[in-house]
Amino acid sequence: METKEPAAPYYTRPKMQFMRQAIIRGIEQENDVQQLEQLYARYNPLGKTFEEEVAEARAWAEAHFEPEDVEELAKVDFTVGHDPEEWNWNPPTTDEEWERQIAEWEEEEKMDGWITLEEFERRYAKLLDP
Amino acid sequence: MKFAVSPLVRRQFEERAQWYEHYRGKDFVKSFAQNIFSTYRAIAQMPTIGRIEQKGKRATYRSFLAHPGCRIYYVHDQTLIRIQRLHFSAMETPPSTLNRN
Repeated sequence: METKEPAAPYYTRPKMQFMRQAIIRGIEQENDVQQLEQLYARYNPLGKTFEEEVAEARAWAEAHFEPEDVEELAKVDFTVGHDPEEWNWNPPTTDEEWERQIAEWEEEEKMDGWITLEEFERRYAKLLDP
Repeated sequence: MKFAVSPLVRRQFEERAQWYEHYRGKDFVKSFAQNIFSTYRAIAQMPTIGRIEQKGKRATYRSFLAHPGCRIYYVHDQTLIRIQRLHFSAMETPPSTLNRN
């Protein structure tokens, strides 16, 4: 008796892309740490752990910045896994906003830690030699 | 004319350089730093180079695009230039393994 082979499902590129996007959206909404750990192990089996990435970033910071600045960067995990918008600043748009910003800047002018152009270039010269 | 960089700008610069190193690679950091350095020198030589953002009672507030993703905000009067803030365009964090050198 002749048996009929099952037809192989046919996946078009748009269908595969649709499924990828659905998975990405699902992972973006996942807040369960254990689920995230399992997904990370499945989709990034040879990748570095967060701790390894941070250690590597710390080594780079120590090679390029002053020790006190390295400690400041440690507070944001050396930016590993941080969205850069977290420290984005939105410039004022109206006159009222500008007045408030100028008042804030005038307060900042009293802060310690201002450096000259020569000091800035000296501190960060290592960035030009990767 | 004196030239001063604020502690907050230093922190912004360091964090962004670190972020670029992690997600874009060392050459990108070098280009970013070179652009910032050369813009500072240009502003130091000619403070009026920037776009006027606001004219204050004592000083003028200006900005200058230093890098495709970075605008420098500064204030100057007759004797002093102060770099007050960096404004970065919003960026998504890319997968690190795809973008590192």
